[in-house]
Amino acid sequence: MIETIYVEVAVREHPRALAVLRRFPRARVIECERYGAIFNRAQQNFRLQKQKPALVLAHKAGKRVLEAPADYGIGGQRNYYFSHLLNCLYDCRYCFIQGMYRSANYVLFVNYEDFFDDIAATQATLDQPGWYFSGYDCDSLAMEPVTGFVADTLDWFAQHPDANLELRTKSTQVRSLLNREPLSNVVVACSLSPDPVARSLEHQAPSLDKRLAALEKVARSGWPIGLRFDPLIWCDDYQNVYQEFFDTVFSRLPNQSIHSVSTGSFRLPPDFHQKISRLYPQDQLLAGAQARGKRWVGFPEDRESSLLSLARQRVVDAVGEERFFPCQFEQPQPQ
Amino acid sequence: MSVYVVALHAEARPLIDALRLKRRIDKPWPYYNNGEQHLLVSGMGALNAAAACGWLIGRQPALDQEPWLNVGTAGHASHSLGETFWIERLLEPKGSVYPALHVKNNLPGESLLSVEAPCEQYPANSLVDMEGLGFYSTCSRFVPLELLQLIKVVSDNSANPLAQVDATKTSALISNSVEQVLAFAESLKQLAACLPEPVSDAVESCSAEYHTRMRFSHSQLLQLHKLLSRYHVLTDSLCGPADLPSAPRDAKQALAMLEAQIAALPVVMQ
Repeated sequence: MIETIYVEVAVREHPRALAVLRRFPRARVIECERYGAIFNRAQQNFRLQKQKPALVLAHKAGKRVLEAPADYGIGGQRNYYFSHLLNCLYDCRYCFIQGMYRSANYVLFVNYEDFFDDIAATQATLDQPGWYFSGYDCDSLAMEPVTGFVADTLDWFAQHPDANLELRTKSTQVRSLLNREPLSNVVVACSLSPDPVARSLEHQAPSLDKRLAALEKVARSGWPIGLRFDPLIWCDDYQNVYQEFFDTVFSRLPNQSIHSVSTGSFRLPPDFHQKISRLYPQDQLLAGAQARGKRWVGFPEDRESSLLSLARQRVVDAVGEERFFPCQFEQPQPQ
Repeated sequence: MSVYVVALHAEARPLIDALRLKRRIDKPWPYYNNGEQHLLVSGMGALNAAAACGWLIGRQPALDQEPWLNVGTAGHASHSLGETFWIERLLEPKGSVYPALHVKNNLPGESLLSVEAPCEQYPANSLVDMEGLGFYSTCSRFVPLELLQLIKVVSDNSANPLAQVDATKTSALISNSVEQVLAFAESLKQLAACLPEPVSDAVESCSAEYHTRMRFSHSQLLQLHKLLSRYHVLTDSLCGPADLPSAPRDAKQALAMLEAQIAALPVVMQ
């Protein structure tokens, strides 16, 4: 429940801002000049803010569509991401967002049309369909009842079949997808982890069972779906845990609906890892991670490679090489 | 545990009574506590507020994990005497600062302008005091912003100017708001409980055990401390020098051995 909403003066009368404010009639509303005055300050504590995050309604200026890191993709050559929302409803202990942002407050950029214009401008420079990823700094669907983002975005992508969209989520908020005709250029991707991992690390996120149930509905209504096994988390008895997990996932979801499957290992830039470890010094995952060269912190190499190879084998068995996109050790994993 | 910072004795008195605080220190700033709660009388003005807070945190560094509240009176053009506000915005020449609210709080919000000297020219749309910004600017260097808050009670307005305010009236005004102040402090205390516990003494003494056996540079000591803490988290036990597979010849080798020990430990889903 949102109890405090900061609103940039510039968007105070924006229809989307007004709609959000109407949704929370009892919230305390505080006007601000720029969202950075709330979001970017030093000495904020992400862990404390996560107890009751505020919502900031803002205008996104500057560059709105950014090139995705190298090797991030699901088959396309030109990959981009954009963030209409910063931060996530869930509290996954492995998530890089905790180390990247100083604040756990949600920032919603209400000028969606500017994002669409920038996607169109980007697409105009390409000679092939581009891929646009929306769930890099947030969960694409979890706050849909508040943001209405997916509904507007799907309208836009329905008119622009030359551009592809990935919605990435752990949520079960799929009503906006079920209520409309599926789009072949939109992939609904769900991040999935075995139950023990999800229970231990993905705080406040729906259970594996609920995620699969929602994804199954989405697939059965005709949407291409994506499976994101990223990060793979090494744990005791990982072989049995992951074998059972892959059995469950691939038996419940219709194979022909699976557009792509990607895998990735647990990895964080060292400065993010250090920051998150300070927030959660008692966390076993963070305590067990170690430096992997200068750029990353993750599981020891032998653990990581045994888990990645198990996952590769199961994924390729299920969907073949052509739908499998292993995410290399190059960028932190999104939610 | 909470730390209350007030400018004047008249503002402090109702809190001292409600919390049953005892005076512990007279100079340089009057300081009261009861073991759990702390109260500091800073004197008027931003410089006093800043210096007093810096002095207290220097004496008691562990207070950097506790809520700090600046409680006091303020003027406003039109708000009624006795109205109590949570400060949602501190006005600064360079822009506004927004205290971070992450607990339930039913007090109405208001902006605050801190000035250098008492004034009866009330700014439009904000409360006016002399300490708020000094308190916040200083304490925000050592206290998480979520635990740093200000509550102001209206003591004067256009119809009831500052000249009419005296110590008795001030105490009466604060007294009427004490319950709200303490309720807010309690919710901040619960929030502070979400901070991680400090590193256990056992890890500290284990680290000292290594240090007595071999020489560690400052950065090696920090590494040692981090490794011992990780080992402790993963095993709920300690890895002293005697627990290593062989006696390390120097600090560098001890750290490498510890790192290898940790890499071999299982990761259990909690």
